[in-house]
Amino acid sequence: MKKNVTGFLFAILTMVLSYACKYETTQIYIQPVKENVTPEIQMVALDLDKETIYIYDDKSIKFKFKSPNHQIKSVRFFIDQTEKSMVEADSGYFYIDHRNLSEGMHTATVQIVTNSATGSLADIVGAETYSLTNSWKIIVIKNFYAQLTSTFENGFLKIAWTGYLGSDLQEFIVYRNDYDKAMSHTISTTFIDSTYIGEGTRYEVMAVRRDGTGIRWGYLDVAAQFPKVHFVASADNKYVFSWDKCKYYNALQKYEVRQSDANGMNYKVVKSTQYVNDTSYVVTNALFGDDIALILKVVPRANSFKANLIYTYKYDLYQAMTLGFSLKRFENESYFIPHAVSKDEFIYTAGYDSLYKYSLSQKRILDRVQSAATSCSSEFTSYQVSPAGKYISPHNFCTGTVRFMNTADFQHSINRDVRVLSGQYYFPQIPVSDVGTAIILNDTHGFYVYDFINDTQLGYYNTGYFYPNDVMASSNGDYIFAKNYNLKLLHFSNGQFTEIWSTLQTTAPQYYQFDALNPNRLVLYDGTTITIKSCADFSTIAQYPLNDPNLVNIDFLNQEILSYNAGYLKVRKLEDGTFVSQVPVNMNAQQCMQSCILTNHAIISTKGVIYFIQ
Amino acid sequence: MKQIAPIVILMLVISLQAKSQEYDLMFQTGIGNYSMSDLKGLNQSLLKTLPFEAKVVSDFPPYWTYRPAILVKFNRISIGASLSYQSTGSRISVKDYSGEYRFDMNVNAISPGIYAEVEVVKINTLQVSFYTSAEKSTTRLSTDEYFNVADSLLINEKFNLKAKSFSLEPGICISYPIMFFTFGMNIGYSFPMGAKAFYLSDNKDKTMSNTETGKAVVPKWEGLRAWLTFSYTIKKGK
Repeated sequence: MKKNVTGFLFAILTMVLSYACKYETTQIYIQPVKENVTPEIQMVALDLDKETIYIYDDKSIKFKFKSPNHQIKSVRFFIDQTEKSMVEADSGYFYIDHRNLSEGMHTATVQIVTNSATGSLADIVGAETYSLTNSWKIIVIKNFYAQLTSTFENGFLKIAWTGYLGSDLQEFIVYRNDYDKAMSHTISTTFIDSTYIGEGTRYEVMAVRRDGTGIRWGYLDVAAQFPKVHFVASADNKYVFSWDKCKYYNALQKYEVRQSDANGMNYKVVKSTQYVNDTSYVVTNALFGDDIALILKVVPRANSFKANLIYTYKYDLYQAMTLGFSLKRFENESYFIPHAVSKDEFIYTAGYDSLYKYSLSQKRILDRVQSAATSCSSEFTSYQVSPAGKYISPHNFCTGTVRFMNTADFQHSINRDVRVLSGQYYFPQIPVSDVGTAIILNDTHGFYVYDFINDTQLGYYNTGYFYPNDVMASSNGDYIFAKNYNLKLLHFSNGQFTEIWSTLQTTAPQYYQFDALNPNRLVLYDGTTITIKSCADFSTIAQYPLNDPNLVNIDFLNQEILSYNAGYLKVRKLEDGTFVSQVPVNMNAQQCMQSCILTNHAIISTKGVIYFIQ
Repeated sequence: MKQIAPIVILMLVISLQAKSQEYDLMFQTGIGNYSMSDLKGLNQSLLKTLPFEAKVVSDFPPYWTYRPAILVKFNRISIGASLSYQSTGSRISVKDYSGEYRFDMNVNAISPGIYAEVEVVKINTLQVSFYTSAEKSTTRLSTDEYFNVADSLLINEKFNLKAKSFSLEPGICISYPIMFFTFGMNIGYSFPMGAKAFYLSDNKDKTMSNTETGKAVVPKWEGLRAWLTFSYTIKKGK
């Protein structure tokens, strides 16, 4: 039994001992590594090639780095020490957000991270790196879009703009809003537009960077500066259409003038010149009183942007006019009703509210008076003038008063309320004599003779069953024409009326008028014959046939007749019809009779123009 | 110990109940050469996946093996129970100033079995015998992966696995008895007779395979064995 136990213990001991002798190893492999391997970074591409970068809008920065012995693991981008992006590659893009950066200076930093290239475990797993950084100054610019400046240089328009401060500028592109393609690609900050002649336009400048992106850099609105046109009619009846020299004369190809016919239609080219200093055109093929229009076309040099500029209305300068020495103060002034008031002077209404007195010898306005009733109809739209022109008597329909005015001095006048004579609601025209008496038609079939100066009623004449529709007084006020169903010549003296002559309306002459220069004479015209008669007994003083078919007007103060015959206004002596001179016109007889008076050897048209007969 | 208990019991039963007049307490120690081809393949696959260059500094080298046994002698035949133990291992290693990586696999097996020996020639007192040992092995594999870079421990994983296998080791033995002791020298070759894949000690369902080849990893103790034998002979009734 003792041996069995010994054997058992032997077995257990050997088993435990052998179990304790377990395999173990302490071997390790020490790998060789490189030391102090400083990376050498090569910049293949980087859009930050200056120390100071100017940022005008969002910007993508392209980069590419290379290192011969090191692997570039990442490139990080910081602005003001705040990381904006990280690219785990050796190339890519960074982005600068212009909108979210304040204006002014910032710092951009690029950090390049490479492996250590030692080959160590830490290098391989990325726990051991080299880091290289470089910084740039960034200046953020906002609100740079502004108006450009323009100057005039050597006959051209020159525009200028502020420079682009960044180093990545490719070019500036200049556009015009009326051209369909870019005008210029330039790196300069100025541009001379050799096609601009003052027509007015808008320029836009675009700054294009090397990466192809563009930003709107500025604009310029250039107001039209075409030459101003002028029309001058001289006293010797020469009509000159002129214009200022084109400011941008070196861009000019030619001036071209087109003229309409007498009715303002059917234009024809009447002048074409390429000389910039040739800036006038003497109107031909048009006559006194014609309403013509002239168009000056400023034609720029043909260019590749728009070849047929001549056919665009943009370059037209239009001028409408009535040929003659103008009374107009401005182009569209109208309503000219002339009446002679002396041998040299006439008055006229213009603009409906003002009365002017004009001297033909002095060729200027001598006096002016404005209507008192500006809020109502003007008192000068219709008025009567005494035969020799000493007084006028405009009736103000709004106030009911008559302004009795001496044409020698507009500033002194007398207002009379004659409604007690005319009737409360009857506002007839008031014929007036050169001695201050007037004929006031009455609403009860008659008229009063009234003394304006003394404000007294001098007499009353009952015309019978019909209202008189045309009355006039002689220069001295002692003879009166009154017409209703017949035409009567009355003599008025001491409040009494005496009928000198009478005829039926149907046999009344076309024209009858008292002679202003010879108060006791009157003139009749029956369509063929001029008859000068004595007022006192209606005897004939002179009589002659008028060789012209149309009597237009008689200048009693200068004793001349204006008549019309076959395209001519003719001036003749009143005394015997002797021909004095003639003026060619395109007006017909009816137009002439309605629109012209003769005064001091000048024809004044209701169109506001004068023809001085030489 | 649970694996060893039946063998110990078998040894006691044989020693106490044997009808024979003699029985031997035998202790063998020697060098074993172990194939471990699957685990070596596993190391090679791992090397390929590492991002750095590492080396297999120890690749399941030959290592000491031990085998106690108790045998009953019947004339020229001895038979009995044995319990062998063998271990080996491997290491993948790399180290530099910045850190260290290593992957250790230590493998050992306890193999209870039946040992038999037949004396074929006796020249004077020198005996020449054939022997064979049939064993069932329980292999324990412990893996330890460690990776430290710049004082940062990136990997520190350990796993314990097990696997079962069978082997048959025939060989020749030369022995020289002196009084109650016998000294001898054995040489044999262990043949695999079947093996199962390693599995996690705490989860049998999770077995080990080589992800590169897709094959299960099994223990392969196949290889040459060289033993030194020491026996103590006990005669019953003496």
